[in-house]
Amino acid sequence: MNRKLRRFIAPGVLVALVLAFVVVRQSTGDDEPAGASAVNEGPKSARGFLEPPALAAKVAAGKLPPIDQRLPEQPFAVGDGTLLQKEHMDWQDGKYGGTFKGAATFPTGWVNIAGGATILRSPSQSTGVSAPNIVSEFSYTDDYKTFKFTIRKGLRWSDGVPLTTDDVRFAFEDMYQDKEVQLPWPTELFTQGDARLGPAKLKVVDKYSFELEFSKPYGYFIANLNSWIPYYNMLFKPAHYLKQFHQKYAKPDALAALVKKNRRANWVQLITYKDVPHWDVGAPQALGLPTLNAWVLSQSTENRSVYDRNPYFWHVDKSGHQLPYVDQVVIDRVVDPDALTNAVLAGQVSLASGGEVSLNKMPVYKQNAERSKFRVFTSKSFNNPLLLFLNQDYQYQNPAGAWQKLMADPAHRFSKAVAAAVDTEGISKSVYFGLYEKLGPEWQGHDPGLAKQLLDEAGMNRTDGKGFRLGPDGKPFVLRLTHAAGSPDFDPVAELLKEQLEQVGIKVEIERVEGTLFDQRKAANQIMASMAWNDGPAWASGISEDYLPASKGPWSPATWTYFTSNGKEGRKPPANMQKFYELATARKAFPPESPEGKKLYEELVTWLRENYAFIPTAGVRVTPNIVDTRLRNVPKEGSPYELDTYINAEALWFADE
Amino acid sequence: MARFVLRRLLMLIPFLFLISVVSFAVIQLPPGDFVDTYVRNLEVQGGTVNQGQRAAIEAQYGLDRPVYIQYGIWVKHIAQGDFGNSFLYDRPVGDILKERVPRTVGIALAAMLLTWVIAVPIGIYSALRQYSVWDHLFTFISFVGLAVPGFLLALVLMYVVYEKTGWLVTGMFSPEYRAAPWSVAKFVDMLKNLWLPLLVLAVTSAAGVIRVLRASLLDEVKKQYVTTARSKGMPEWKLVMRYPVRIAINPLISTIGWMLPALVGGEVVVSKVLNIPTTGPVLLEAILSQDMYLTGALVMILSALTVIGTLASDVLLAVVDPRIRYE
Repeated sequence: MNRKLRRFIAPGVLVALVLAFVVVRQSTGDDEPAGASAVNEGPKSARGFLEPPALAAKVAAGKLPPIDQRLPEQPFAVGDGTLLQKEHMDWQDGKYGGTFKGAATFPTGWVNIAGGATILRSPSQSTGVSAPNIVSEFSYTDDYKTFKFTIRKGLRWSDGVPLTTDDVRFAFEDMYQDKEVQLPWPTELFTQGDARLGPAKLKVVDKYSFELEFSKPYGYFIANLNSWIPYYNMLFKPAHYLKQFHQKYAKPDALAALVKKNRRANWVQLITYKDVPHWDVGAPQALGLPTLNAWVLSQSTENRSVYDRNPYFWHVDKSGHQLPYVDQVVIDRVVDPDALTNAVLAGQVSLASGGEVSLNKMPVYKQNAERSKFRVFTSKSFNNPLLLFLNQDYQYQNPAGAWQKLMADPAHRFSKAVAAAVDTEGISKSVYFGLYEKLGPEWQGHDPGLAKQLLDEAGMNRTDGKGFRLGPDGKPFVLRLTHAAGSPDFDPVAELLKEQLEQVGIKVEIERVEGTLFDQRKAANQIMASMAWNDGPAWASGISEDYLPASKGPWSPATWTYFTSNGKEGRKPPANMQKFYELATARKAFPPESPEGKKLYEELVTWLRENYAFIPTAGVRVTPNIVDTRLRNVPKEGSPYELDTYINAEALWFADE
Repeated sequence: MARFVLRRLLMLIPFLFLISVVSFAVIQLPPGDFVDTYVRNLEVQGGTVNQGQRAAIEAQYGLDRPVYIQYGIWVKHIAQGDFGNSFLYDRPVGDILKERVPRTVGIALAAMLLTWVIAVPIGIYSALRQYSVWDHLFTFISFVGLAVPGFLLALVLMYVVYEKTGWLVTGMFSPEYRAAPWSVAKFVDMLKNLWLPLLVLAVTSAAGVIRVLRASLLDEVKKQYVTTARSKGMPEWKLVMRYPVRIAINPLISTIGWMLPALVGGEVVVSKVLNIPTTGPVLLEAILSQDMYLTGALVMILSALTVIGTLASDVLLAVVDPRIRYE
């Protein structure tokens, strides 16, 4: 019987063995090396440009006009110091070819930042140079109320249709001001970014020239024209394309069919759906959308987005190449950030930066760099380190309560004590390998003795049985620290903060919540203290303004509601907050990088620091960047913004290796 | 039998209706809606959304209307065979499911088959050679298998394979094949990537099957009819396979019902770890971002699978075990 039983068991064991064998055998596969073969640079055209080989066949077949006819009369010339400052990148004219491979949890990937098509252009994340980019001439009146633009003549959308003032007129008349579409105005087009002051008025002069007029001085608008965040799309919309979705221009039958085909409820929904913001340029609805960007979406499925070079892109280098150098961008969709990290480690990604990488994974990046042929360098960041926010409006309806007593203190002794209790260098050492820079001398340094003394003075001099301080009202006091764990460092930093604050006697409770819940609590003014990062390093240039009181971490959300609702809702700003709103508003009148703008910004950050709007938990943030070893025109080690790795994508090229 | 199957299928209709109400209600429970998630993602990327823009997005997704109207529209569309549009993927939910459900069921069935191929022989062997060295070894291994969560096994295997060979499992296909049409090379590439998740799923569920089979077979072989048959000189191999094994296998068949949805839903974590585009990660992502139509459709399908699975196992039981009757 044993023999027979064995005969029965044998197949099962055999299968298991075969499987084990397969397991061992199958793991020998190698990844294909990305194919960026050397490209022959052809002869120059009459105007001195080089036809990209990837487009040569189409041109030869007559499907695409030759390069001379595709470029504007005066293309935008990119060279040393144009896209990034000279000191942060050594520019080399490159050569055509190759594919950027990427991985992202959402279809667009980093291409939303790498668009490159801003109305004006300043290097990196600055806004002071304002070289005319999409427009060829740009001027403004001395009172910063009227801005004049002339579109670069011969500049074309990615489908070859010239860009004209009809595209601007369409955006204003047929989108924002159309009675039915009522596309909401972007914040940047409101005078001083304030909805109460009304939007810009458009005056079309001729086919290429137009003017924008604001009701009050709005020099800050220049920063918006330089910024990749509001993007060209706020002024220029491809009218020839969007008209097919607009009732005013489309035939009713055709429009009804399009509405049905795109599964929208009506034509207004359809046109707002097809007017894709750059956050979604990789999503399926952006297929067919003409753009002014370096790459155009050619495929968008659930698993992958592919962008091909824009044959009409209007940037050139000095040796006659039409940018971008790289022909194609392929973004593979991954299920979560860990899968993204795996793709990076396996060398399936040509460049990764920003939120795609994280400093705490530095050891594994380094470990795999050689095998997967990538290079890791660190840069500073577009973002601040994690900041601690104390909500000055929390329970403001109860001025006699412990929290409001602490917050109302004109000397900010409680906030100062918290700042003195935080050991920023300790946090940098424990969580960031000591790479985050030291905090500047203008900030309150680590001084637990001072913290204890300040807390005593602030009325928290009595303790409970466990040594925790009671509130100024004599009741148990708990600092509830809420955060939404935006990146892997939130949890350890929160724990360290708790430890450090408890050492000076402040009892801390950490509350980790889901992102949307955090936003709702924030809106409802239910957050006492929170932890978040924001775009601090981009404040000075005006690209970001998220120091506002109800932004990333709320520090005075109720007065902000009061401010934006014209006093109808929220909390009337206390005397010290008035100063903040005055500064924040005054700043809008000037270009951020003008002398007046800089002075006001200096006053503003000083105010923020002295009023403890936020408390840094570490010094300047340092973050890894990952690039294929063959890539050239990469920002240097230690350059100021990790996002420049993306912003600069049109200039990157693959060298032979 | 036919009447029984028909009745059970008819019961599916009110059941699914109830599920639709419950799942829609559940989606509404967490604070906020998809627009909150969308705006949040946008702000994390650096964008800003003002009040007017927010209201426009809400209208775009139909979230500005009361919940019961949203539900009514949803049900009306489902009745017309339209699951609505996924907010997250901006595609018809039907298309997403068409792509993912067959893939998921395929992987689930393959894993189930592999589970049985591994577990049934081992279970039988363990029971017949109780307390032998091999039984102890298999028992030990299956307890380890029970105790180790699938995702951990996946991570460890992934790490070991990567360390030994430098090859990292990063999805169902290697990047160069992801967009390619089906070919022999693509199929081979898929096998190359898929053995690991299959093995992980099979090993973790095989452990339980081995224990169940061993226990029930141990009960059976001690019964008198076995002794009788043996004393009458029936060949051992024929005896064991024809009688005790057939009975011992009943509990396995009756679990097919919940194995189907468990495999479809249970591979969430493994699929997430190994980046496999099945329904599991989509369901998770849809719930997290409050993509209500996608979540609703998936919950409905998982529920339907449970009901169909239970029905299938009932029918199978009747086929395998003639003692079971439907009256």
